[in-house]
Amino acid sequence: MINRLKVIEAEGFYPYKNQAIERYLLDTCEDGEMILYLWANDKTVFIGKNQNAFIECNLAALSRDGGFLARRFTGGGAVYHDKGNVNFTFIASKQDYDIANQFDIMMNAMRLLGFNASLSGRNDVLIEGKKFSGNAFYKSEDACLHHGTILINSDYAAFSEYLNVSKVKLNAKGVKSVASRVTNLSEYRSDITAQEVKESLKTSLKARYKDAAITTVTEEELPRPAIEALTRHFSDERYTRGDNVFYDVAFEYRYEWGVADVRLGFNGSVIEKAKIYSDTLDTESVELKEKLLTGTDILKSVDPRIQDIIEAYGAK
Amino acid sequence: MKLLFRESHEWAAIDGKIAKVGISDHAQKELGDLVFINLPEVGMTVSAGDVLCDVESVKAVSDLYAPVSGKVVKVNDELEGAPELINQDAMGSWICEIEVTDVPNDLMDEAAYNKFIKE
Repeated sequence: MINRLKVIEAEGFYPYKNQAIERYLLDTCEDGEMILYLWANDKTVFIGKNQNAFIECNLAALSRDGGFLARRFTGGGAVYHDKGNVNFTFIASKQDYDIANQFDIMMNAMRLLGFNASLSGRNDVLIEGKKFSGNAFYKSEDACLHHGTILINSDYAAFSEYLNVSKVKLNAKGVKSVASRVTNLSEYRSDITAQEVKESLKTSLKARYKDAAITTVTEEELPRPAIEALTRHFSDERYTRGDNVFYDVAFEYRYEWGVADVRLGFNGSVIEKAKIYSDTLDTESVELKEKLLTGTDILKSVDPRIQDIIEAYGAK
Repeated sequence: MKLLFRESHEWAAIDGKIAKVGISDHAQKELGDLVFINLPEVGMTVSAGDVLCDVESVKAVSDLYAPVSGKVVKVNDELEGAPELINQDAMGSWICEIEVTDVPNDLMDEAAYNKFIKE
């Protein structure tokens, strides 16, 4: 039974730190607790756990505009975040976690603001038939998590520019996004603010658990090393780009200066994608090797400059 | 062969040293349609109760736990492009094979598990 509420608001808009805080809260959630975490990201394409970043997102356009690519540890499709969007996260232990109840708290918060929201399917909350909130879920044996977006005055049209329109036919693995009709709350009340939405969520949560003790936690109270380690995890390209989803093989390759981490994606015996992660400063040579690897048929004769990498793969 | 279940709804079909591991039909129904599976890695060593791998269904991303301790020696690659096979036949769709080093004593046989899920 829930007898303690913990409320925390993110102070910054850096997606990876915000994700780190969310994950930390999940990993440290105690029985009897309901955590509400409120956060927003600056210009981020936020893809689902098992999505292929290269298919979902025009990474070049996104990075050109200073946007972030982030990957959730929950499922579903790609969404766009900016400061005109508020994210809410409910975390509770398995026995207290109840999706219907959490949706109810969220929709009641919308009602308090004068919006008539309705649930659609498992993941979406609509206003007049258009989606303004997408939700996703994670379950482990200990704690469970339900998070969602609320579009307030987001420039979600920008999203379409970052959606990949690759003509290349990729028969890649991964969960595909589904397009839906989207709207901002500001379409229905032009003066609505993110702060109002956050306050309303808090009010609605407290109203649901009248007898529960409430603690408000600030970012500073969280252990810095843990948050920093998690921030590194969520910002690591290998995680955001999802090499485990996208590439078929990963292996280490020792060269004269150290160790590189090589990822290859195959179509038959032909390497379709190659990525080398190494801390060498000689990025030019790394890029050249990636270029040479791409398109190589490993069963045919191989350029001598990548011979050693192919051998390392063969020895794997 | 011995068929045992974990409270978190994984099964282990133990035959000598090797256990085939999957999830129960009840779990498959609870999860809903699977859209993705991250198979465990061959060679990884797990203790019973460790996170073995995870699945994404239309409802959520969920962790799966190792019912027995040991080393993952084989994974069912067939599931990789077709996780829906688990929805179609959960008891027939093994996820991986574990070379068993320990079987915890809190696992249930089929009768006890069927009783457990009715509770």
